[in-house]
Amino acid sequence: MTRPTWLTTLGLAVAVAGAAGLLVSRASGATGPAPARAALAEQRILTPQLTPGAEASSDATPTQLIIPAIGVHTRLIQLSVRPSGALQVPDTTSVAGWFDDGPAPGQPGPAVIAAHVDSYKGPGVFFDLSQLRRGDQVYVRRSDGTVVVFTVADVRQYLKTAFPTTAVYGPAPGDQLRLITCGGTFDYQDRSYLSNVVVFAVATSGTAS
Amino acid sequence: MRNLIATPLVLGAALLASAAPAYASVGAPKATTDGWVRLANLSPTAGPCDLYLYSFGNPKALIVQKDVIYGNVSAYDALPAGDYTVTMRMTGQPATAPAVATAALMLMGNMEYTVAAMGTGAHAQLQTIDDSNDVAAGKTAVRILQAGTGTTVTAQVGQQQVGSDLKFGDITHYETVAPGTRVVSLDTSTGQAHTQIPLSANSTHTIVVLDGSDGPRITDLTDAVGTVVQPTGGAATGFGGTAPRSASSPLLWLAMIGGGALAAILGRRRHRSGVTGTAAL
Repeated sequence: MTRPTWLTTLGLAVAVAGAAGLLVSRASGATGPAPARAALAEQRILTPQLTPGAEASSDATPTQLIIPAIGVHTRLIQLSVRPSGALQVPDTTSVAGWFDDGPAPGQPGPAVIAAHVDSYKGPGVFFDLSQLRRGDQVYVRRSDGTVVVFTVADVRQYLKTAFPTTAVYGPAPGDQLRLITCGGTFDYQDRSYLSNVVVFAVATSGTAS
Repeated sequence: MRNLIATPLVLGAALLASAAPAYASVGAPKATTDGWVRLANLSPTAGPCDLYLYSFGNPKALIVQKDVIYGNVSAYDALPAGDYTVTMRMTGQPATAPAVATAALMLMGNMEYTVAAMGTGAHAQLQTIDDSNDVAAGKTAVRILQAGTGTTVTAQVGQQQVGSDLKFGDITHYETVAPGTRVVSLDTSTGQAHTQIPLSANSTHTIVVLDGSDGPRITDLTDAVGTVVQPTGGAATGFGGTAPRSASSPLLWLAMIGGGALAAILGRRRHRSGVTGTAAL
Protein backbone atom coordinates (compact mmCIF):
# COMPACT_ATOMS: atom_id res chain seq x y z
CA MET A 1 0.00 0.00 0.00
CA THR A 2 1.44 3.39 -1.03
CA ARG A 3 1.50 6.26 1.40
CA PRO A 4 -1.38 8.25 -0.26
CA THR A 5 -3.70 5.19 -0.26
CA TRP A 6 -2.87 4.57 3.36
CA LEU A 7 -3.69 8.22 4.14
CA THR A 8 -7.06 7.95 2.35
CA THR A 9 -8.00 4.83 4.31
CA LEU A 10 -6.95 6.32 7.62
CA GLY A 11 -8.77 9.58 6.83
CA LEU A 12 -11.97 7.74 5.96
CA ALA A 13 -11.71 5.66 9.12
CA VAL A 14 -11.27 8.75 11.29
CA ALA A 15 -14.21 10.47 9.58
CA VAL A 16 -16.45 7.44 10.04
CA ALA A 17 -15.41 7.14 13.69
CA GLY A 18 -16.20 10.84 14.17
CA ALA A 19 -19.65 10.46 12.61
CA ALA A 20 -20.36 7.41 14.75
CA GLY A 21 -19.22 9.25 17.88
CA LEU A 22 -21.45 12.20 17.07
CA LEU A 23 -24.45 9.96 16.45
CA VAL A 24 -23.95 7.96 19.64
CA SER A 25 -23.47 11.08 21.80
CA ARG A 26 -26.63 12.71 20.42
CA ALA A 27 -28.74 9.56 20.62
CA SER A 28 -27.81 8.69 24.19
CA GLY A 29 -28.86 12.14 25.33
CA ALA A 30 -32.21 11.96 23.60
CA THR A 31 -33.22 8.58 24.95
CA GLY A 32 -32.19 9.12 28.57
CA PRO A 33 -35.60 9.51 30.23
CA ALA A 34 -37.37 6.75 28.26
CA PRO A 35 -37.32 3.98 30.94
CA ALA A 36 -38.81 6.36 33.50
CA ARG A 37 -41.77 7.17 31.24
CA ALA A 38 -42.53 3.49 30.86
CA ALA A 39 -42.47 3.06 34.63
CA LEU A 40 -44.90 5.93 35.12
CA ALA A 41 -47.29 4.55 32.53
CA GLU A 42 -47.61 1.35 34.55
CA GLN A 43 -49.00 3.22 37.55
CA ARG A 44 -52.76 3.28 37.90
CA ILE A 45 -53.98 6.56 39.30
CA LEU A 46 -57.63 6.57 40.20
CA THR A 47 -59.69 9.66 39.62
CA PRO A 48 -61.38 10.74 42.88
CA GLN A 49 -65.12 10.21 43.03
CA LEU A 50 -66.85 13.55 42.87
CA THR A 51 -69.81 14.52 44.98
CA PRO A 52 -70.74 18.02 43.83
CA GLY A 53 -71.95 20.37 46.48
CA ALA A 54 -69.73 19.23 49.35
CA GLU A 55 -68.82 22.28 51.43
CA ALA A 56 -65.21 22.74 52.47
CA SER A 57 -64.19 24.44 55.67
CA SER A 58 -62.29 27.65 55.04
CA ASP A 59 -59.22 26.63 57.06
CA ALA A 60 -58.79 23.25 55.35
CA THR A 61 -55.20 22.60 54.23
CA PRO A 62 -54.21 20.58 51.16
CA THR A 63 -52.99 17.06 51.88
CA GLN A 64 -52.80 15.21 48.55
CA LEU A 65 -52.27 16.02 44.88
CA ILE A 66 -53.67 13.73 42.19
CA ILE A 67 -53.07 14.24 38.45
CA PRO A 68 -54.33 11.15 36.58
CA ALA A 69 -53.11 12.34 33.15
CA ILE A 70 -49.45 12.07 34.20
CA GLY A 71 -49.70 9.44 36.95
CA VAL A 72 -49.14 11.77 39.91
CA HIS A 73 -50.47 10.76 43.32
CA THR A 74 -48.53 12.34 46.14
CA ARG A 75 -48.96 13.77 49.59
CA LEU A 76 -48.40 17.48 50.05
CA ILE A 77 -46.02 19.10 52.52
CA GLN A 78 -45.92 22.81 53.42
CA LEU A 79 -43.42 25.14 51.80
CA SER A 80 -42.32 28.64 52.75
CA VAL A 81 -39.60 30.92 51.38
CA ARG A 82 -35.86 30.41 51.82
CA PRO A 83 -33.79 33.07 53.59
CA SER A 84 -32.67 34.15 50.10
CA GLY A 85 -36.29 34.96 49.26
CA ALA A 86 -36.63 32.10 46.77
CA LEU A 87 -39.39 29.52 46.99
CA GLN A 88 -38.55 26.67 49.35
CA VAL A 89 -38.75 23.29 47.63
CA PRO A 90 -39.29 19.79 49.09
CA ASP A 91 -36.18 18.07 50.50
CA THR A 92 -37.15 14.90 48.70
CA THR A 93 -38.07 14.43 45.06
CA SER A 94 -40.94 12.04 45.86
CA VAL A 95 -43.41 14.55 47.35
CA ALA A 96 -44.89 17.88 46.27
CA GLY A 97 -45.19 20.93 48.48
CA TRP A 98 -47.78 23.65 48.90
CA PHE A 99 -46.65 27.27 49.39
CA ASP A 100 -48.45 28.21 52.61
CA ASP A 101 -47.73 31.97 52.44
CA GLY A 102 -50.40 32.07 49.74
CA PRO A 103 -53.98 30.89 49.29
CA ALA A 104 -54.78 27.22 49.93
CA PRO A 105 -56.11 25.33 46.91
CA GLY A 106 -59.82 26.13 46.67
CA GLN A 107 -59.47 29.62 48.12
CA PRO A 108 -59.47 32.75 45.92
CA GLY A 109 -56.13 33.54 44.32
CA PRO A 110 -53.18 31.49 43.10
CA ALA A 111 -52.44 28.39 45.19
CA VAL A 112 -48.86 27.28 44.40
CA ILE A 113 -47.58 23.69 44.43
CA ALA A 114 -43.96 22.84 43.58
CA ALA A 115 -42.14 19.53 43.16
CA HIS A 116 -38.94 18.23 41.60
CA VAL A 117 -38.71 17.08 38.01
CA ASP A 118 -35.90 14.69 38.91
CA SER A 119 -33.32 13.64 41.50
CA TYR A 120 -29.62 12.88 40.90
CA LYS A 121 -30.65 9.39 39.82
CA GLY A 122 -34.02 9.53 38.09
CA PRO A 123 -37.48 11.05 37.73
CA GLY A 124 -39.11 13.15 40.44
CA VAL A 125 -42.81 13.45 41.19
CA PHE A 126 -43.29 16.22 38.57
CA PHE A 127 -41.21 14.50 35.88
CA ASP A 128 -44.07 14.60 33.35
CA LEU A 129 -45.56 17.96 34.35
CA SER A 130 -44.72 19.54 30.98
CA GLN A 131 -46.83 16.83 29.31
CA LEU A 132 -50.05 18.27 30.79
CA ARG A 133 -52.37 19.90 28.29
CA ARG A 134 -55.21 22.41 28.48
CA GLY A 135 -58.31 20.60 29.74
CA ASP A 136 -56.47 18.00 31.89
CA GLN A 137 -57.81 17.74 35.43
CA VAL A 138 -55.91 18.18 38.69
CA TYR A 139 -57.33 17.13 42.07
CA VAL A 140 -56.30 18.43 45.47
CA ARG A 141 -57.58 16.58 48.53
CA ARG A 142 -57.84 18.66 51.70
CA SER A 143 -57.64 18.03 55.40
CA ASP A 144 -61.44 18.10 55.73
CA GLY A 145 -61.77 15.32 53.14
CA THR A 146 -63.03 17.54 50.33
CA VAL A 147 -61.41 17.53 46.91
CA VAL A 148 -60.94 20.65 44.80
CA VAL A 149 -61.01 20.05 41.06
CA PHE A 150 -58.88 22.20 38.78
CA THR A 151 -58.72 22.26 34.99
CA VAL A 152 -55.44 23.03 33.26
CA ALA A 153 -55.65 26.31 31.34
CA ASP A 154 -52.06 26.66 30.18
CA VAL A 155 -48.63 25.02 30.34
CA ARG A 156 -45.61 27.26 29.94
CA GLN A 157 -41.86 27.22 30.28
CA TYR A 158 -39.84 30.22 31.40
CA LEU A 159 -36.13 30.86 31.84
CA LYS A 160 -35.49 31.20 35.58
CA THR A 161 -33.78 34.50 34.84
CA ALA A 162 -37.12 35.73 33.43
CA PHE A 163 -39.47 34.04 35.89
CA PRO A 164 -42.96 35.69 35.71
CA THR A 165 -43.38 36.42 39.43
CA THR A 166 -46.53 38.51 38.98
CA ALA A 167 -48.27 36.01 36.70
CA VAL A 168 -47.52 33.16 39.12
CA TYR A 169 -47.87 34.77 42.56
CA GLY A 170 -49.61 38.07 41.83
CA PRO A 171 -53.28 38.97 42.36
CA ALA A 172 -55.60 36.75 40.32
CA PRO A 173 -59.39 36.36 40.14
CA GLY A 174 -61.13 33.15 41.09
CA ASP A 175 -59.70 29.99 42.64
CA GLN A 176 -56.55 29.12 40.75
CA LEU A 177 -53.63 26.71 40.96
CA ARG A 178 -50.02 26.90 39.80
CA LEU A 179 -47.85 23.79 39.50
CA ILE A 180 -44.12 24.45 39.25
CA THR A 181 -41.14 22.26 38.38
CA CYS A 182 -37.87 22.54 36.48
CA GLY A 183 -37.40 22.18 32.73
CA GLY A 184 -35.29 23.08 29.76
CA THR A 185 -31.54 22.66 29.57
CA PHE A 186 -29.61 21.35 32.57
CA ASP A 187 -26.52 23.38 33.41
CA TYR A 188 -23.98 20.80 34.59
CA GLN A 189 -21.67 23.53 35.91
CA ASP A 190 -24.30 25.00 38.25
CA ARG A 191 -26.12 21.66 38.75
CA SER A 192 -29.36 23.45 37.94
CA TYR A 193 -32.01 23.55 35.22
CA LEU A 194 -32.15 26.87 33.40
CA SER A 195 -35.96 26.99 33.17
CA ASN A 196 -39.15 26.38 35.13
CA VAL A 197 -42.27 24.71 33.79
CA VAL A 198 -45.43 26.36 35.16
CA VAL A 199 -48.92 24.89 34.82
CA PHE A 200 -51.80 27.35 35.23
CA ALA A 201 -55.10 25.75 36.33
CA VAL A 202 -58.52 27.02 37.33
CA ALA A 203 -60.97 25.54 39.87
CA THR A 204 -63.72 23.86 37.91
CA SER A 205 -66.66 23.10 40.13
CA GLY A 206 -66.13 24.18 43.70
CA THR A 207 -65.49 21.17 45.87
CA ALA A 208 -66.15 17.47 45.81
CA SER A 209 -65.38 14.56 48.09
CA MET B 1 -8.12 33.83 4.28
CA ARG B 2 -9.76 30.48 3.70
CA ASN B 3 -9.52 29.78 7.41
CA LEU B 4 -11.30 33.02 8.20
CA ILE B 5 -14.33 31.75 6.28
CA ALA B 6 -14.07 28.10 7.13
CA THR B 7 -13.67 28.49 10.89
CA PRO B 8 -16.96 30.31 11.45
CA LEU B 9 -18.70 27.81 9.17
CA VAL B 10 -17.44 24.86 11.19
CA LEU B 11 -18.28 26.61 14.46
CA GLY B 12 -21.74 27.47 13.17
CA ALA B 13 -22.40 23.90 12.17
CA ALA B 14 -21.18 22.71 15.56
CA LEU B 15 -23.45 25.13 17.39
CA LEU B 16 -26.44 24.07 15.32
CA ALA B 17 -25.73 20.43 16.04
CA SER B 18 -25.49 21.04 19.79
CA ALA B 19 -28.48 23.39 20.02
CA ALA B 20 -31.04 21.45 18.01
CA PRO B 21 -31.64 18.57 20.47
CA ALA B 22 -31.93 21.03 23.40
CA TYR B 23 -34.72 22.98 21.74
CA ALA B 24 -36.47 19.82 20.57
CA SER B 25 -37.05 18.78 24.17
CA VAL B 26 -38.73 22.08 25.04
CA GLY B 27 -42.52 22.13 24.83
CA ALA B 28 -43.77 24.97 22.65
CA PRO B 29 -45.45 27.62 24.80
CA LYS B 30 -49.14 28.29 24.17
CA ALA B 31 -50.77 31.65 24.65
CA THR B 32 -52.95 32.18 27.72
CA THR B 33 -56.18 33.45 26.29
CA ASP B 34 -58.57 33.17 29.22
CA GLY B 35 -60.30 36.15 30.75
CA TRP B 36 -62.66 36.22 33.72
CA VAL B 37 -66.26 37.24 34.22
CA ARG B 38 -68.75 37.22 37.08
CA LEU B 39 -72.46 38.01 36.88
CA ALA B 40 -74.38 40.10 39.40
CA ASN B 41 -77.74 41.63 40.18
CA LEU B 42 -77.12 45.11 41.62
CA SER B 43 -80.46 46.64 40.71
CA PRO B 44 -82.51 47.46 43.82
CA THR B 45 -85.76 47.58 41.85
CA ALA B 46 -85.50 44.95 39.09
CA GLY B 47 -86.29 41.93 41.28
CA PRO B 48 -84.87 38.42 41.00
CA CYS B 49 -83.52 37.66 37.53
CA ASP B 50 -81.84 34.96 35.46
CA LEU B 51 -78.56 35.89 33.81
CA TYR B 52 -77.36 34.08 30.67
CA LEU B 53 -73.96 34.31 29.05
CA TYR B 54 -73.58 33.27 25.39
CA SER B 55 -70.63 33.08 23.08
CA PHE B 56 -71.53 35.74 20.50
CA GLY B 57 -73.90 34.32 17.88
CA ASN B 58 -74.32 30.94 19.62
CA PRO B 59 -77.84 30.40 21.05
CA LYS B 60 -76.64 27.80 23.59
CA ALA B 61 -75.83 29.54 26.87
CA LEU B 62 -72.37 28.86 28.34
CA ILE B 63 -73.31 30.12 31.81
CA VAL B 64 -76.76 30.43 33.41
CA GLN B 65 -77.27 32.02 36.83
CA LYS B 66 -80.86 31.41 37.96
CA ASP B 67 -82.83 33.43 40.46
CA VAL B 68 -80.16 36.03 41.15
CA ILE B 69 -81.49 38.35 43.83
CA TYR B 70 -80.37 41.91 44.49
CA GLY B 71 -76.85 41.94 45.89
CA ASN B 72 -75.87 38.48 44.63
CA VAL B 73 -72.61 38.18 42.70
CA SER B 74 -71.35 34.93 41.16
CA ALA B 75 -67.80 33.63 41.43
CA TYR B 76 -65.53 34.38 38.49
CA ASP B 77 -65.64 32.00 35.52
CA ALA B 78 -62.68 31.64 33.17
CA LEU B 79 -63.55 31.99 29.48
CA PRO B 80 -61.41 32.12 26.35
CA ALA B 81 -60.91 35.67 25.09
CA GLY B 82 -63.63 36.61 22.61
CA ASP B 83 -67.02 38.21 22.11
CA TYR B 84 -69.88 37.26 24.40
CA THR B 85 -73.44 38.39 25.03
CA VAL B 86 -75.07 38.56 28.47
CA THR B 87 -78.85 38.69 28.71
CA MET B 88 -81.18 39.23 31.63
CA ARG B 89 -84.63 37.71 32.03
CA MET B 90 -86.91 37.96 35.01
CA THR B 91 -86.93 34.81 37.12
CA GLY B 92 -89.66 32.48 35.91
CA GLN B 93 -89.38 33.48 32.28
CA PRO B 94 -88.21 30.72 29.90
CA ALA B 95 -84.83 30.99 28.21
CA THR B 96 -86.65 31.60 24.94
CA ALA B 97 -88.44 34.70 26.29
CA PRO B 98 -87.28 38.08 25.03
CA ALA B 99 -84.50 39.51 27.16
CA VAL B 100 -85.22 42.37 29.54
CA ALA B 101 -81.71 43.67 28.97
CA THR B 102 -78.67 42.68 26.92
CA ALA B 103 -75.00 43.60 27.14
CA ALA B 104 -72.08 42.86 24.84
CA LEU B 105 -68.89 41.68 26.51
CA MET B 106 -65.63 41.90 24.59
CA LEU B 107 -63.56 39.68 26.85
CA MET B 108 -59.79 40.12 26.67
CA GLY B 109 -57.31 37.52 27.86
CA ASN B 110 -55.98 38.05 31.40
CA MET B 111 -58.65 40.72 32.06
CA GLU B 112 -61.57 40.45 34.49
CA TYR B 113 -65.09 41.82 34.31
CA THR B 114 -68.34 42.08 36.24
CA VAL B 115 -71.57 42.17 34.22
CA ALA B 116 -74.27 43.49 36.52
CA ALA B 117 -77.97 44.14 36.29
CA MET B 118 -78.18 47.83 37.17
CA GLY B 119 -80.72 50.58 36.77
CA THR B 120 -83.49 51.80 38.96
CA GLY B 121 -87.17 52.20 38.35
CA ALA B 122 -88.69 50.33 35.41
CA HIS B 123 -85.54 50.50 33.29
CA ALA B 124 -83.34 47.53 34.09
CA GLN B 125 -80.08 47.44 32.22
CA LEU B 126 -76.93 45.34 32.11
CA GLN B 127 -73.63 47.08 32.68
CA THR B 128 -70.16 45.71 31.93
CA ILE B 129 -67.62 46.82 34.55
CA ASP B 130 -63.85 46.42 34.17
CA ASP B 131 -62.36 44.88 37.30
CA SER B 132 -58.67 45.12 38.17
CA ASN B 133 -56.01 42.89 39.68
CA ASP B 134 -53.47 45.71 39.68
CA VAL B 135 -52.10 46.72 43.06
CA ALA B 136 -48.78 48.00 44.41
CA ALA B 137 -46.71 45.21 46.02
CA GLY B 138 -47.72 44.61 49.63
CA LYS B 139 -50.77 46.90 49.40
CA THR B 140 -54.50 46.55 48.92
CA ALA B 141 -56.56 48.35 46.27
CA VAL B 142 -60.20 49.21 47.08
CA ARG B 143 -62.99 50.89 45.13
CA ILE B 144 -66.63 51.64 45.92
CA LEU B 145 -69.57 50.61 43.72
CA GLN B 146 -72.69 52.51 44.77
CA ALA B 147 -75.68 50.25 44.06
CA GLY B 148 -78.10 51.61 46.68
CA THR B 149 -80.88 54.16 46.39
CA GLY B 150 -79.20 56.45 48.93
CA THR B 151 -77.83 59.69 47.56
CA THR B 152 -74.66 61.55 48.50
CA VAL B 153 -72.85 58.47 49.76
CA THR B 154 -69.50 58.97 51.44
CA ALA B 155 -67.32 55.89 51.98
CA GLN B 156 -64.29 55.49 54.23
CA VAL B 157 -61.88 52.58 54.52
CA GLY B 158 -60.17 52.94 57.88
CA GLN B 159 -59.38 56.63 58.07
CA GLN B 160 -59.10 56.96 54.29
CA GLN B 161 -61.97 58.43 52.27
CA VAL B 162 -62.43 56.37 49.11
CA GLY B 163 -65.56 58.01 47.66
CA SER B 164 -67.79 61.00 48.30
CA ASP B 165 -71.08 62.32 46.96
CA LEU B 166 -71.67 59.00 45.21
CA LYS B 167 -74.97 58.46 43.42
CA PHE B 168 -76.52 55.18 42.29
CA GLY B 169 -74.33 53.55 39.66
CA ASP B 170 -71.17 55.47 40.54
CA ILE B 171 -67.95 53.44 40.65
CA THR B 172 -64.81 55.02 42.10
CA HIS B 173 -61.26 54.37 40.94
CA TYR B 174 -59.28 51.85 42.95
CA GLU B 175 -57.53 53.53 45.88
CA THR B 176 -54.42 52.07 47.48
CA VAL B 177 -54.80 51.33 51.20
CA ALA B 178 -52.63 49.57 53.77
CA PRO B 179 -53.58 45.91 54.24
CA GLY B 180 -55.23 44.72 57.45
CA THR B 181 -58.70 44.40 58.92
CA ARG B 182 -60.34 47.76 58.24
CA VAL B 183 -63.63 49.33 59.26
CA VAL B 184 -65.53 50.41 56.17
CA SER B 185 -67.95 53.25 56.99
CA LEU B 186 -70.80 54.62 54.90
CA ASP B 187 -72.61 57.87 55.42
CA THR B 188 -75.64 58.15 53.14
CA SER B 189 -78.97 59.94 52.90
CA THR B 190 -80.64 56.71 54.05
CA GLY B 191 -78.43 56.16 57.10
CA GLN B 192 -74.99 54.90 58.12
CA ALA B 193 -73.24 51.53 58.07
CA HIS B 194 -69.98 50.18 59.51
CA THR B 195 -68.46 46.80 58.68
CA GLN B 196 -65.09 45.20 59.43
CA ILE B 197 -63.47 43.82 56.29
CA PRO B 198 -60.18 41.86 56.17
CA LEU B 199 -58.03 43.28 53.37
CA SER B 200 -55.00 41.07 52.71
CA ALA B 201 -51.81 42.32 51.09
CA ASN B 202 -51.67 42.02 47.30
CA SER B 203 -55.44 41.97 46.80
CA THR B 204 -58.04 44.12 45.07
CA HIS B 205 -61.63 44.64 46.26
CA THR B 206 -64.89 46.17 45.13
CA ILE B 207 -66.94 47.28 48.12
CA VAL B 208 -70.58 47.39 47.07
CA VAL B 209 -73.06 49.73 48.73
CA LEU B 210 -76.50 48.11 48.81
CA ASP B 211 -79.90 48.94 50.24
CA GLY B 212 -80.46 47.00 53.46
CA SER B 213 -83.68 46.44 55.34
CA ASP B 214 -83.11 49.65 57.27
CA GLY B 215 -80.43 51.79 55.71
CA PRO B 216 -77.39 50.89 53.65
CA ARG B 217 -75.38 47.69 53.88
CA ILE B 218 -71.94 46.71 52.62
CA THR B 219 -70.75 43.73 50.58
CA ASP B 220 -67.05 43.09 49.99
CA LEU B 221 -66.19 41.50 46.64
CA THR B 222 -62.66 40.15 46.23
CA ASP B 223 -61.65 41.05 42.69
CA ALA B 224 -58.22 39.42 42.83
CA VAL B 225 -55.83 38.12 45.47
CA GLY B 226 -52.19 37.07 45.31
CA THR B 227 -49.86 35.29 47.68
CA VAL B 228 -49.09 37.36 50.80
CA VAL B 229 -45.37 36.73 50.30
CA GLN B 230 -43.97 36.70 46.77
CA PRO B 231 -40.92 34.46 46.40
CA THR B 232 -38.16 35.88 44.22
CA GLY B 233 -37.07 34.21 41.00
CA GLY B 234 -37.73 30.64 39.91
CA ALA B 235 -37.80 27.39 41.85
CA ALA B 236 -34.86 24.98 42.23
CA THR B 237 -36.85 21.87 41.43
CA GLY B 238 -34.44 19.52 39.70
CA PHE B 239 -31.10 17.75 40.20
CA GLY B 240 -30.44 16.71 36.59
CA GLY B 241 -30.75 12.93 36.97
CA THR B 242 -32.84 12.73 33.81
CA ALA B 243 -31.14 15.53 31.87
CA PRO B 244 -29.52 14.59 28.56
CA ARG B 245 -25.88 13.62 29.12
CA SER B 246 -24.77 15.05 25.78
CA ALA B 247 -23.59 18.26 27.34
CA SER B 248 -20.10 17.52 25.92
CA SER B 249 -19.37 19.54 22.82
CA PRO B 250 -19.73 17.79 19.47
CA LEU B 251 -16.72 19.79 18.24
CA LEU B 252 -14.34 16.86 18.72
CA TRP B 253 -16.52 14.56 16.62
CA LEU B 254 -17.00 17.23 13.95
CA ALA B 255 -13.24 17.86 13.88
CA MET B 256 -12.66 14.12 13.41
CA ILE B 257 -15.13 14.04 10.51
CA GLY B 258 -13.61 17.12 8.89
CA GLY B 259 -10.01 16.11 9.49
CA GLY B 260 -10.59 12.57 8.33
CA ALA B 261 -12.36 13.69 5.17
CA LEU B 262 -9.56 16.15 4.43
CA ALA B 263 -6.93 13.46 4.92
CA ALA B 264 -8.87 11.10 2.69
CA ILE B 265 -9.16 13.69 -0.08
CA LEU B 266 -5.47 14.61 0.14
CA GLY B 267 -4.51 10.95 0.06
CA ARG B 268 -6.66 10.33 -2.97
CA ARG B 269 -5.21 13.31 -4.84
CA ARG B 270 -1.63 12.22 -4.17
CA HIS B 271 -2.46 8.68 -5.18
CA ARG B 272 -3.93 9.92 -8.48
CA SER B 273 -1.00 12.22 -9.25
CA GLY B 274 1.39 9.32 -8.57
CA VAL B 275 -0.44 7.03 -11.03
CA THR B 276 -0.51 9.71 -13.77
CA GLY B 277 3.23 10.30 -13.40
CA THR B 278 4.06 6.63 -13.86
CA ALA B 279 1.97 6.42 -17.03
CA ALA B 280 3.79 9.39 -18.55
CA LEU B 281 7.06 7.68 -18.11
